Amino acid sequence: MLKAENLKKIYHMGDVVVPAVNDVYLEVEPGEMMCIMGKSGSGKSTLLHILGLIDSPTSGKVYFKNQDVSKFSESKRAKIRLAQMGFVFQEYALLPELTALENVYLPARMLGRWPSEYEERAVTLLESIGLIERMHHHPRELSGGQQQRVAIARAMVNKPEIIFADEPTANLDSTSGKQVMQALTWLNKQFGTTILFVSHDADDQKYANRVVHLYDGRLSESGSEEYSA
Amino acid sequence: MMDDYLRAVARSTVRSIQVALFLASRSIFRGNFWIGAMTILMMILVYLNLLFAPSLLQGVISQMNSKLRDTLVGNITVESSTPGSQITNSTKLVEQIAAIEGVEAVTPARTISGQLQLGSERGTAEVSGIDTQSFKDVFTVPQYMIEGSFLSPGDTDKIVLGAQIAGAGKAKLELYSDSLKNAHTGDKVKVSFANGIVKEYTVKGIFQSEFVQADLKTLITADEFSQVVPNSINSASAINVKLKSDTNQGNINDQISALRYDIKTRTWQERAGFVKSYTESIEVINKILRAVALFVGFLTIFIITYVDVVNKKRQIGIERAIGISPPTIILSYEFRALFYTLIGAILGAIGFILVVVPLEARYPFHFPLGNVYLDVNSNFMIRNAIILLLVSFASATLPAWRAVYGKIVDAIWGN
Repeated sequence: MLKAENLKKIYHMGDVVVPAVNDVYLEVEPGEMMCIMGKSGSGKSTLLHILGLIDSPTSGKVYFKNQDVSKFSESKRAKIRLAQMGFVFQEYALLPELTALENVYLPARMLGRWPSEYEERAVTLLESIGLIERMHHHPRELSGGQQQRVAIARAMVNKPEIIFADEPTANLDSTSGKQVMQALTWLNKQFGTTILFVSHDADDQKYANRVVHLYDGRLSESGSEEYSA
Repeated sequence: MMDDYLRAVARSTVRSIQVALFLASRSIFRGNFWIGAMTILMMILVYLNLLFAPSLLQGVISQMNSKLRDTLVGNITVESSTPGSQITNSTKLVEQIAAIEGVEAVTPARTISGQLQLGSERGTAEVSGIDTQSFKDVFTVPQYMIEGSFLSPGDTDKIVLGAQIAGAGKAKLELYSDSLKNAHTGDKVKVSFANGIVKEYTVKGIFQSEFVQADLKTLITADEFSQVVPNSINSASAINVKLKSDTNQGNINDQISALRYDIKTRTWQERAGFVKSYTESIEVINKILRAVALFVGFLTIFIITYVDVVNKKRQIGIERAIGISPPTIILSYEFRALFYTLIGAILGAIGFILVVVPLEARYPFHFPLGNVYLDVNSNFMIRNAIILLLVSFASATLPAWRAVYGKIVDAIWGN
């Protein structure tokens, strides 16, 4: 489904060249729940952004459904992100002026679905993640964990084939973090949605069926069993 | 194939507009109330600025033009086609002109230059012999009497003076030093006409229309004029024509010209002379003031949108990351700017019509040519509102454009 070949991302900080992602080869199969582990600054978020088409590699290729998408125009990438990908960011990236329900159905509106269709789907998603009572609340009226679950529902509204989650539990307490990871696991199992998430918290590995490690921009792979407690 | 493509483009455009309207409406009605209110207040001020000075200057232009028409030349002036000659058989020509559809009034006049003397003070003036009744129908001069009364039919040995020639003790008059300085009603004024006749007149009245050229006039009746200039009956130096409002001036001008071969006609615009150069200068100032007001409007929306997009950089990054297209995001900012400007223009227009115009009408600005009132109409207000909307649309586009075409990652991280 998703493949990265010889991926490189280099940042220039003055005269210093910093390779955030260095010669990464990675293949994600449909239905996988993959975790990219790494310390802070290891390049895992950068890798996720490149794979999710919100950033471009310095060199290398990204294939999505056998198409080289790394050189696509921003307009084409936006269409793919909208229709086939979902995103969950670490700081509950919700739009503050919209209610939980509106935040969830916004991408569906953009995709041109009928109001009855997108509202119904958004309500169903909010119900399935236990936030139906809070759907008319604004993000500021929700806890961090609730906001992150709304973000997950938003990522799911267009029935994407893959969801990218960038440290989804980083700013949450352990209970909320657990709820968020359980929600992602449920989506993976229930709908077969591929989930690719990055984390620096070793506890999160247990939710993945495949874990890869990133050290200074370089990837090494290991089975999830190895990391299970 | 092409049809499918066009249909897809149309669908995508409609979708973008719908989402942009959705985002804009949520931002307007759920955003910071005070920022919205202050933005609207700014747009009200910009719109009032766009209306006030130009309509005041337009009022000056209108006042100048109407004073020119109403006190000096009428809508159309008819003269002999031979320079220095009189129009002969003027009585019949006046009747013919008066019979033309759209003509409201016609008055003939004979003129001769003369030197006036009051004691040791002298002044030169053009003395006009007028038909008092038709003169009142064409000109508003009799309404500007500051002393005494206007001429009556059959008045002889009586003269009415314009304030600029009488002086009337008003040292602040523009041409006071060349006037009789202190002529008043009842004074005896000696007039030496260009044809050598010298006659003494009693000042019956003094008028001040506040239009310098008109206030230089000296008037006597046509009967009196015929005593000074024998054989002046049934002839005229000029015939002034007043038209009904909403009449096609050019058409009537053509009809008058066609009446006789030995006359020529000039419209008030052609006779405007110095007034025209004044009005042209005022129009240039008017344009500059409007451009400045529009620039202020442009800057206001630009700054507000710029600050907004800087504060919402992360939000814009998130919108883009979840697939909202850059044109949709830009459009949402443009709709927001249009909304604030539209509300500002509507409130500004209401305030202008209900407060500013009546207030100015009650306490008008006094210019050398008299009280000036704001000259404004719905077309002018709508045109300015549309221009302001277009300007605000453009000024919102620039910062929004800049914000949405940066790197998504940078926007999300707030770089």
